[in-house]
This record gives sequence, C-alpha cells and structure tokens, in this order.
Amino acid sequence: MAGENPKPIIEIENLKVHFKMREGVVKAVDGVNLSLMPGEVLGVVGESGSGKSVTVRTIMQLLPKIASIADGKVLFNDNGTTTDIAKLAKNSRDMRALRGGKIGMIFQEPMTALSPVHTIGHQVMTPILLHTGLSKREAEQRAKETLDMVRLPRIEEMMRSYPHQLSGGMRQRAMIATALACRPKVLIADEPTTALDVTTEAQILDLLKELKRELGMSIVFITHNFGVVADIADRVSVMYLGNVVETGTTEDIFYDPRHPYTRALLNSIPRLGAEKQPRLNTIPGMIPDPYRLPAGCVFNPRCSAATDQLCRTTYPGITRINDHRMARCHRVAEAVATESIAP
Amino acid sequence: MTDTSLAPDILMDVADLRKHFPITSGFFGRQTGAVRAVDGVSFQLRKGETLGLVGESGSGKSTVARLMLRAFPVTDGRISFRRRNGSVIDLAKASGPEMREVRDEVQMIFQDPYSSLNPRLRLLEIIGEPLINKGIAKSEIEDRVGELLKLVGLRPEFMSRYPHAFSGGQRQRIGIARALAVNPTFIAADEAVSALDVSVAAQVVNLLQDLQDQFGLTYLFITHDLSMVEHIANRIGVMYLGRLVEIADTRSLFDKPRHPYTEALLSSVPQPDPRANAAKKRIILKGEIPNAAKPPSGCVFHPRCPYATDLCKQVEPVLEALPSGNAVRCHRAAELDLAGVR
Repeated sequence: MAGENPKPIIEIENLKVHFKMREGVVKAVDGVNLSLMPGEVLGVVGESGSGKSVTVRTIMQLLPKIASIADGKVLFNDNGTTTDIAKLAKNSRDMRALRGGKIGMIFQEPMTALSPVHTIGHQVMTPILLHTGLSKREAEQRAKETLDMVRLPRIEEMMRSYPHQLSGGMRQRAMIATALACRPKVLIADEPTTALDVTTEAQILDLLKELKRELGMSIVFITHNFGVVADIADRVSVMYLGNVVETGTTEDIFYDPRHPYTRALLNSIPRLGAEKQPRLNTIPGMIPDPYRLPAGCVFNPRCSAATDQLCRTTYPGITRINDHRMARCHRVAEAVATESIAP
Repeated sequence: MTDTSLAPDILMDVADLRKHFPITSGFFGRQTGAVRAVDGVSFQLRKGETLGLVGESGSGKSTVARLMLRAFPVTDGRISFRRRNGSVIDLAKASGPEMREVRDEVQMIFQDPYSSLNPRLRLLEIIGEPLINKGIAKSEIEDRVGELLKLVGLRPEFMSRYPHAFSGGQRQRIGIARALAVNPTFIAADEAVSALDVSVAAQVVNLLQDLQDQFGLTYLFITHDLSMVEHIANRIGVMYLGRLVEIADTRSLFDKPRHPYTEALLSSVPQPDPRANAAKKRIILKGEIPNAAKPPSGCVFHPRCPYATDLCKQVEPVLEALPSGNAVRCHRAAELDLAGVR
C-alpha cells in the first residue's frame, strides 16, 4: 500500500451527477467523496442503482448525454500538476489525452467493448498511435509487448485475430491489453469479471494483481461481488443510493463494518463452508424509487438501527472514525462521539 | 409409456441422457458434426429434495434442465418421472398429448426476470395463462392469481399491472407465481437468482425454501454461484463438458470433493473474507472449457487437470458409484486426497 501520506492520484470531492429524465431529475450520484492512492486497489461495491458505475465513469467523462455533473470536483494529480476532470469538456484535447492515455478502463462485456470488425492488433495499437508519438512499427512492437504482458498466447496470430475468434477469458485479456497499451497511471475496472466463470475469474483477478505490481498503477475496481472485492482491494468504499456510506481498509470493512447497510449486506451473503443456517438473512424492503427518496438518511426505511429524531429527518454527514475510515451514519457518529469522550 | 418402476422415494430417474445439436454446413445443410451438449448424464431426484447443478458456461447444465421439461427433443436416454397419480412416464419418449398433461407437474423458473415476462400482458394474464389454457372460469382465475401473488409476497391488486412496473426481485417472484399456478411437483430453477442483487437474491431464495416446505416441491437448482448452492441444495451435481463429473451430498462435496474439477471450482471462488483469501492456495486452471463439438480424448478434463496421467489422456472414466451413494467420474478418485473448503 501507499507510503507516508502521499497525495491521492484521484480525489473525488462532493461529486453530484444528475440525470434529466422525462419524469424528473434523478440524483444518481449525490455528494460522493472518494480518493485513490498511488499503487492501491480501491474496491467500490454496491447494489444496482447505487451509482457506483456513474461515479467512476465521471473520471473518464463517459457519461450519457442526459447526465450532467451538477457539482463537485474530480481531481487527477499527476507529476505535481492537478487537473479537475469535472471542469474539462467531454471532447476537449486535455480530456482526450487522459482518456485511454493516463487513465485506462475495462468493462464487463468484452464482446461489446471491443470492435467486432477490427483485429486485436489494430485495437491495441490505436491508443498507442493516438497518445504517444510512436511510429506505426514501434506501436506494433509495443502492442505485442502488451499482449504478452496480459499472458495471451501466440502473439503474432493474436494480432491478426478478431474478437469473435477468441474465448471469453481471452477476450477479457485482449480488452485489458487495449486499456494498458499506453501504460496508464490509473485503471478503472467496471465489473470486469462479472460475466466470467469462476475459474476464468480467478485467472483474471490474478492477472490484474500481477499487472498492478509490474506497472505500479492504481486500480478502481467496481463490483457487486463481496468475494471479489475481498480478494483484490486494499481499501473499500460501499455505496448505497448515490452515496458512499462507508470507506475503510478491506480488513475494516469485512471484519468490523460500522454502517448498518454494510453489516446487513455482509450478513445476507451465504459463505462457502460456513455452518448451514436455515434461512438467509435479508435486508427488509427494497431500494427506494429514485424519484421518491425517503427523507433523512436514504437507508432509514430498511435500517434496523434507525431512530425517529435524526435518521428519518436529517441527511447524515460524514463521520471520520479514524485516518482511513469514514461512514455516513448518525448512529456511527453517536458511537464515535461516546468513544472519544470516554477513552 | 410406463416402463421402469421407480423406488418410492424417487421422483425422477435420469439415465444416460444425451443431447447432440447438429452442426450443418454448405448449401444443402449437410450435417458435418455435432455439439455434444449433454453426453451421458445419469442421476436421480428424490422427492422433496433440492439437487444443485453447477458447472461453467457450456457445461450443459441448462440443457439438462430443458431436456427434463422436454423443451426440445432428447437425442438419447431415459427420464422416468413419477406422476402425481402414481404412474411412471418416460419424459424422453412421451408423446405430445402425454407431455401436455405432464406439463402441469414440471415447471421452470428462468434467469432473466426482464426477458421471461411478456411486457404486453398484465400479471393476471401472465400468471393465469396456464389456467386459461385449462379452460378455468375467469372469476376463478382471478381468485387463484390473487392467492398466488400473496403466496410469493406480492399484493393481489398488482394483478392488473404490467411487468415494467416491477423491480427485478419482484419480477422473479412473478415468475415463481407463474410456475406455481398449475401446482407442479417439480421445478427447475435455471440461475433463478443470478441476475439479482445480493440482498434481493437472499429474499428470493428464502421464498423458494418456504414454498418447498409448504408444498413438498422438488427443485433442480442450476447456478454457478457455489456459496448459494451450498446454502440451498441437499445434493449437488458438478457438470463439465456435457458430463456429470461428480454428484454428492452437499456436505461431502464441500468437505472433501472427489473430482479434481470440483476441487478447482471450490478453490477459485473468492470469499468475502480477505484473510481467508490471502491464506488460501488457489488452484488456477489453465485455459478454458474445450469445444463440445471436439471434446478431448480420454477424460475430457485431462488438458486442464493438474493430476492427469497417461491413462487419463487415453481412456474416458465412467461415473462410479461410491459406497456413500455419491458418485465420481475420475480414474484417480480413490488415490487423490483433494482439498475442500473446510
């Protein structure tokens, strides 16, 4: 993990992303704070609709047309210069230089993320030709090195292959190669193993861990699978309904979760080899309609610890539990306050 | 029509089931090969149990379920099914009219709650359709659909709404209500909770278990989620490339797998437990599941198996019954000491 208080490579501050729909405005991301330290893997977990994908897509300025950044900063710190990505225009020169250059991204479905009518070689070379001054021949060499780096076999043949000729796991490797072609500082991985079988998933997770070490990059890893996040992440942010409810080291989140939502989620997943329980624990109710959000803390209707005075009336602020832990919960704030009074 | 007799506690007996999909090519569509999607699968389903079926994509687990419901013709094999009236019928050879009668008793729940419900029909029509087909009076159908909705935890008023008004978890409940409408004894659930969020999946799994207790249902639960199947299944079959490589009661399978593929599967699952993941020695299988049109020689798992010998490359092992009632398809099953999850 990171050394003595280095500057985060990506800092998201109070980010708000709104979607203008026919029925009204959906606050898909509503005040998110996240930071990615150099060389770490930050896991972002949450259920569908929690805003995890929208949050990280903002880093790449890959939002749909109906979405707009309503507020907040997305700071990218590189070599002493700081860029606020949220202020950059989608198609500006600076943004295009970052996207695919300094910041790479991999997706869930390699079949839709890769072009079906271009060869793998072409698709790995394209970002190199766009972002570096290399000649075509040098770019080809770099592309081959990248394919080798993601452990693809028969490189020469692979350069000339089309995505449909590859198996699911190999396609995922090819997509990772396109993202890593320019040796990015930051890799954004949006559910990259969700569509894969467990044995292939294990291969890809191992590959990403090795590549992180070899290239010294930082990874934002989005998933809804707690097993995957426990395996790959150094720190974890848990999202619910447009906001981060808890951030901490992976150990903290899994062995000492503080937010009631994190606790309930971890309780509801069956664990391999655990003593058999007659019923699974569930979280009562369901994720609310984004047009009719509950007053106060958005989790309060499903929360077992919610109180009438605070939780149902006031949106909770951020409580810093210690240097690397935060939660957005009135009850955690109360607990932390009593702890600090009576040490 | 009735052939073999079944032991009293057996609901279904699947024997040497095969499904080969033809590969055709050329102008005249000459058959040039076959994808052996299911290639000699045998198992029994006991009354009231949940049999889990696990394996990677392309292993043939969904095809097995579809064959059991005769969604398409069986290439070869036998599926003896005990009907509610006590008679035994071979679903693999049942005629159209016979199948129509049996369909009340065998039902299916699908993976994708978005594509498995007709968006133009109201819940009343979706859930009541099998009843309409049986010529039941409209008022009676409404009562029954209301009851079914209550049974799966939805409100009876919902019957006049369309599927788009419901979330993924609610839609899956609608799919369950539809399967229950005809009072089946057997339900095949094909990845029924895989598309759902964790907290919702837990609710649906609990519902399935409650319904099983209430109606004595027998489930075939197909999934790739090993922790979920450990929770819900009494016994588990592991499939690889159209074959059942191991079938065992849940506890033994997770404690002490007998097939190297099962061991590798169990070790690949990342756990929501960082310390356990770090301590675990993972078996990373090389490559991917081979093409079912060109299966490898000998044991089909040998190219990826860390324990393969020359024998494995030449001779295909058979599914051998063990004294415990479990069965495994591996030459080296007796000598290998494989690691489970405990």
